[in-house]
Amino acid sequence: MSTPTNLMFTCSFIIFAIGLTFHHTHLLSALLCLEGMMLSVFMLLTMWSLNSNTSSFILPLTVLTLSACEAGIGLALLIASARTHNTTNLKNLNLLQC
Amino acid sequence: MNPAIMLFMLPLTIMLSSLFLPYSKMNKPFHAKVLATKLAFFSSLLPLAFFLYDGLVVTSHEVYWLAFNVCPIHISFTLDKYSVLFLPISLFVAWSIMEFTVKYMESDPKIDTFFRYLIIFTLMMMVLVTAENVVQLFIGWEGVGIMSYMLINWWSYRSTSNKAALQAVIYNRLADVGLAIALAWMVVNNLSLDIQGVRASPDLALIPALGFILAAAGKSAQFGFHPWLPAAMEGPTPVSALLHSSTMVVAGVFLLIRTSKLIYSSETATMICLLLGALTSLLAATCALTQNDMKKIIAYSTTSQLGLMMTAIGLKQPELAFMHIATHAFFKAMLFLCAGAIIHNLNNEQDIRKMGGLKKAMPITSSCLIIGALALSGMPFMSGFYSKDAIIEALNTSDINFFSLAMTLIATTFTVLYNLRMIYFVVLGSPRMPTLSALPEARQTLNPILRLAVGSIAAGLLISINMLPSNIPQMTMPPEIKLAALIVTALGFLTGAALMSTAPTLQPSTKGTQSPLPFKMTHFYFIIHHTLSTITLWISQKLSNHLTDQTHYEATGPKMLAYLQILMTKALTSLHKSRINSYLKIIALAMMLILLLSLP
Repeated sequence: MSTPTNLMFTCSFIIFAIGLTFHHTHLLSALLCLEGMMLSVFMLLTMWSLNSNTSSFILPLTVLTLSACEAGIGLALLIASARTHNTTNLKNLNLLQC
Repeated sequence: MNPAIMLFMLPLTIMLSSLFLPYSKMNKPFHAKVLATKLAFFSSLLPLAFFLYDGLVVTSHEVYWLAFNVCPIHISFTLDKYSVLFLPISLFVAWSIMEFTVKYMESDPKIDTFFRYLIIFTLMMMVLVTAENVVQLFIGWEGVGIMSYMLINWWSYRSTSNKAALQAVIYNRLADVGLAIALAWMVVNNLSLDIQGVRASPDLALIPALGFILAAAGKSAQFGFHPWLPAAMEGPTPVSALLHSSTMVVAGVFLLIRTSKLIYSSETATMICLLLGALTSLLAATCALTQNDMKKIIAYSTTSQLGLMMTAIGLKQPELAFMHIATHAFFKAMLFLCAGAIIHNLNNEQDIRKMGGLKKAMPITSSCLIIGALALSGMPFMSGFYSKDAIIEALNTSDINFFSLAMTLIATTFTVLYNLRMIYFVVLGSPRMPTLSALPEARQTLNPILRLAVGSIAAGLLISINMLPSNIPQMTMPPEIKLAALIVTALGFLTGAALMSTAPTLQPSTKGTQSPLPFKMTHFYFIIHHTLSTITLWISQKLSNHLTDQTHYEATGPKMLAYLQILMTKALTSLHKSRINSYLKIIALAMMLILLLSLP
């Protein structure tokens, strides 16, 4: 971690990751943490491309686009499962469990 | 343009234009087609007259069609001694048959289409006969093959017609391979594709000669390719009369006559011609002795005569073969038309065991049947005599093997025997059919038959006077050799007459009425049609499909891999618990531990 900005974004990534693993009740909180992870990764990539000498670096923009698609899919899945199961409690999403 | 070629174009144009008549304005268009064929016949006599007057051979190169550097191919017509004589004969026979068809198939709703098919067939035959190079002959060859298929399959809702038409097409197609090989060889080796023929060295000429012989064997129903001709009797009688007696099946022999110089360059090919012809002649005559279907007797008789024509080619006498083609057309077409009239009048009864005593009921038709049978057997000074006797004389005085001579003489005996059998069952005796109301001999069916009867009596003399042979035949021979054909024919006739007179007094057979083993052609059909196909399909399924495709390609490679993976997956699936929550927590815990431990 050469700069404090880098440290900040790395810590935010870790916090979001912990939030993703230790969510309890609602699927939406997991999705929010996922979005937060994507956002911090995007900021880290942008800082990296600013500090380096490569001129065109399209990776941040690609990651942003893909994370937007991912958010859309996550929300659609949330709504679909909420409509069929009539609950958003995570304990009830155990259809594939054997 | 040459005036003779313009005169030739007249029959072609008349026939072509009859296909494009305005149908909607006509009540019965097929009458116009009969008239067109009649006009074409009379206009084809003009080139014949020119030829007989001064031996004028006309060739015209019309269109520069395929521009290959080695052998440019033109669309060109030639009227040499073979085609200028064959055209009037084929048009005469076609005219008579079409007039017969007007009455014979008057109850058919698709009679217009039938006439169109007949006209297209006659056109293709004209293209074949007047072709000046082998490629144009091939065009006509294929055309007559296709029209034969469509005409045999006229009643296409019958499964036996479908099978018969398929047999015709498949056997002809197998033979066309020979023609294609011969064409390719001739082009590659810079031999000319002209119809006058070229000579070549014996080893160079062997392969194209064999190719042409294969093509002729398939088209002219020689032994090995013969089953399609009796099966082709599934078509209507005019089809049998036009295609499978006078015109189409002689296309193979005609090809050999045209390319005879090439074949004679190779002694092996000539010998093959001779033996194949003699074998076909004998075997077909043997089969004709035991048939009970009237049209099949005449079909096997056609095959036997085609074998005789092939024998004549094998004797290096192509003009005798051509003369036999010309005379055979008349009496064979007449035999088929008589058979058609008899069958039609007996309410579609084709079995000769159910006919009899027709000499009182249908006198003119049975007289023409007897005239045809006599001409076929080589009765002296009828038309068949001039060609058949000449061939047998040439056979006797040539330096060839004895086997073919013996086979041909025995076939001649059998010819008169099966003719006599047919006449005995159909014309003589007392009727064995159920009583009918009337057996009218309509004038419209009789006129063509009588015309062909005149032809089959007179044509032999007329043609042989005007066609001088280029191979001088042997004129002097001992009287026994000269009379050999007559002697064997007379022997056959005496045997037949003896059997006829003693047959009513013999005991009826107690062993059953199946024909004895050597006469059964079903063994041939079983081996060639059933067993060969079954073996091929069995090999293709076991070797190609099961072994190569499914085992070597699929099973030992990808499918084995997939199978093993699925085995393992099935074994391991029960160990999954899918607790994503706990897995994620363990991952987070492990990462925190790593971070903590790496902090020094």
